[in-house]
Amino acid sequence: MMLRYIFQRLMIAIPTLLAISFVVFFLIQLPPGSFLDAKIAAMELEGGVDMAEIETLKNTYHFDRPMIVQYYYWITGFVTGDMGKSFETDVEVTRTLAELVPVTAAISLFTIFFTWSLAIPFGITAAVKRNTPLDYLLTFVGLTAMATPAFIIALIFQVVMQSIWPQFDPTGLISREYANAPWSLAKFADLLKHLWVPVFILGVGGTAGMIRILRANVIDELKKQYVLCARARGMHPVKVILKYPVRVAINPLVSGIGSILPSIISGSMIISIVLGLPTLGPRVLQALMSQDTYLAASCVFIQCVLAVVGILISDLLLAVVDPRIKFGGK
Amino acid sequence: MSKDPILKLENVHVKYDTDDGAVHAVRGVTYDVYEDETLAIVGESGCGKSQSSYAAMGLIQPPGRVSEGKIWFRNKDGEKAINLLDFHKDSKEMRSIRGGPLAMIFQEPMTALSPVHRIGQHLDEVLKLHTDLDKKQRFDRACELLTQVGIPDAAKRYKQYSFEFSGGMRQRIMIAIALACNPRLLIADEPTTGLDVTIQNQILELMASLQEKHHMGVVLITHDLAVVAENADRVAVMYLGRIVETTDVHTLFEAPKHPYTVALLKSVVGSPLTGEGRLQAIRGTVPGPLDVVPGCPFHPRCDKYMPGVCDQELPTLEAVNEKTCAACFLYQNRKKEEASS
Repeated sequence: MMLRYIFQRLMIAIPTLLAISFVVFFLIQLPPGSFLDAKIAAMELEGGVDMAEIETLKNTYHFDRPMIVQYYYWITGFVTGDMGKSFETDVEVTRTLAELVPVTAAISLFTIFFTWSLAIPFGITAAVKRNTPLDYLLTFVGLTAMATPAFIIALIFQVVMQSIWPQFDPTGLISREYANAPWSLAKFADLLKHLWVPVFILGVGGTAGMIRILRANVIDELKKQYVLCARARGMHPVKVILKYPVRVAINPLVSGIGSILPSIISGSMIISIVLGLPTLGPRVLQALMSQDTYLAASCVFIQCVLAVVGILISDLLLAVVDPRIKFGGK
Repeated sequence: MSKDPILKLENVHVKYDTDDGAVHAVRGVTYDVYEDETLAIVGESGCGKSQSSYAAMGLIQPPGRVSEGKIWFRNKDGEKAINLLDFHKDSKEMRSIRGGPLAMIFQEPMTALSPVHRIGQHLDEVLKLHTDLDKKQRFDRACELLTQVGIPDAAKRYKQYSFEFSGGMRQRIMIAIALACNPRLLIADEPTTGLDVTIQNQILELMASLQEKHHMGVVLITHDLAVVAENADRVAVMYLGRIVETTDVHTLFEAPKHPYTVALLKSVVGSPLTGEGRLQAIRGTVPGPLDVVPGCPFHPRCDKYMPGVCDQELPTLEAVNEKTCAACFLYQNRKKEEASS
């Protein structure tokens, strides 16, 4: 039953992704002009237009052909793993990705871990101790953290760090001395030393939000009859809470894991810029602005693929954690 | 019936501390239950009939607390009774009693089972908490219990979830869970509310047959006088947190004493007191939880209200004859004379 359902979903995913890929490519090409036009303009400013170079670019990237043909070249290349080159840097898109994705993913995964490991215990505590000073404190801190944009937190953090710990550089991920060094234990340690800053700043808002959601979910479940019944069986109250209401309340979070997938590689654009992080976010933004079609389209499209896969994973997880949901109902 | 009571509540008070003041949900309740016997506690919503049994189970949740009284429980016949209030409600001792020798089933069986656990897991849990059986033995016992409460194909049903069962079936499962460790006393809090009438009968019959088999005492909490007539041996009528009358089930319907009991019986279809014509409602409304009624709490609604007596002092529960106790000045001669003089 489950395998058939997954197969069906994957079959549906193919046309969906094709349609998305076309829309992505179309939207990126939509603004007037192209990278080539901009390049010619820039060359004119510098004095001479190198027609030979223009010609090479034209031939390599099919600028003279209609958009649909360019799309065809891009998508056929994409499925075979050849995503083309960045117009701007002339570096293979796959190489750019290989460079940026691991760092981006590391930050995202650590952030998710940070968020969950704080939000789950605090959310449960706030629910169980609802309407007590502890709950009010958590609510106050939580709402403040939610209402403050992350980039403001980042700026405040930098200012505060400057005055209390001036030697520490809160921007970037790798110290200058390791910047071009090959990966080693020391470099990894250095990465960890810097990583907590973006993880903290990125995670604060999400943690606060998740505490609120979990608190509300757990409170809803605590009122249910089955909690009282479990207590009446002689179970320890703390065990009751963890075994029943928390188990039910956490379902939406578990099943939401899939939808986090695309955000793992996107990285937060504004925070990355403020903190000078080498993640994919700012790179994609730059590519979009300079109409660096192949790089931009490939990155955006990969995120869309992850979104489609993530939603499928979410749906499957939901069915795994909640037996009330069944596949392929008639 | 010469044996000692299994459970005896003595002057139990339950209070809820709210921002608007303390709500006194149970105001000095005393009753006892014996082996093989069903004590019905009747009364309208909010009269404290559930709260008094929650107190016995140690299930009163903050801001509520048992503020006064003693709850004597005798685990084995001939053994000395222990006061459950000597233990913290979540202490090891209390948890070993709750769900084991002192079990409870609740109203609304629809939500009484966790939606994400197999019904077998509920049974397994209670057996694990209260017995030393190993995994295989617990499974066998669980299947045996399911069969006992009339659920066929137990081994298969064991693995199913609560939403795959009807309301009546779920209440059967709850009964199976409550009976898992051979309780001495079963508290049934409106066990048939929310079930349709034919299923109600099946559940009550099941409870009666299991009671006979295991010699349990049963406290049956209900507002349904028809259920009382069919199932109870003795009856305690509660009004506003107090017991106003205790008697055996026949006397209750034949010769009720307290005006509240009389009024209650007059408002029910098919009771001997109803008579011809329209059913009678009890006039007035139940006072709010924070209102203070001087004297007898029922006097503003009572047909036999004696001015100068009933609104002055609180009547205590006293024997009217060898069968009935009532908390009413009508049956307490000294006060009655005072009123007529």
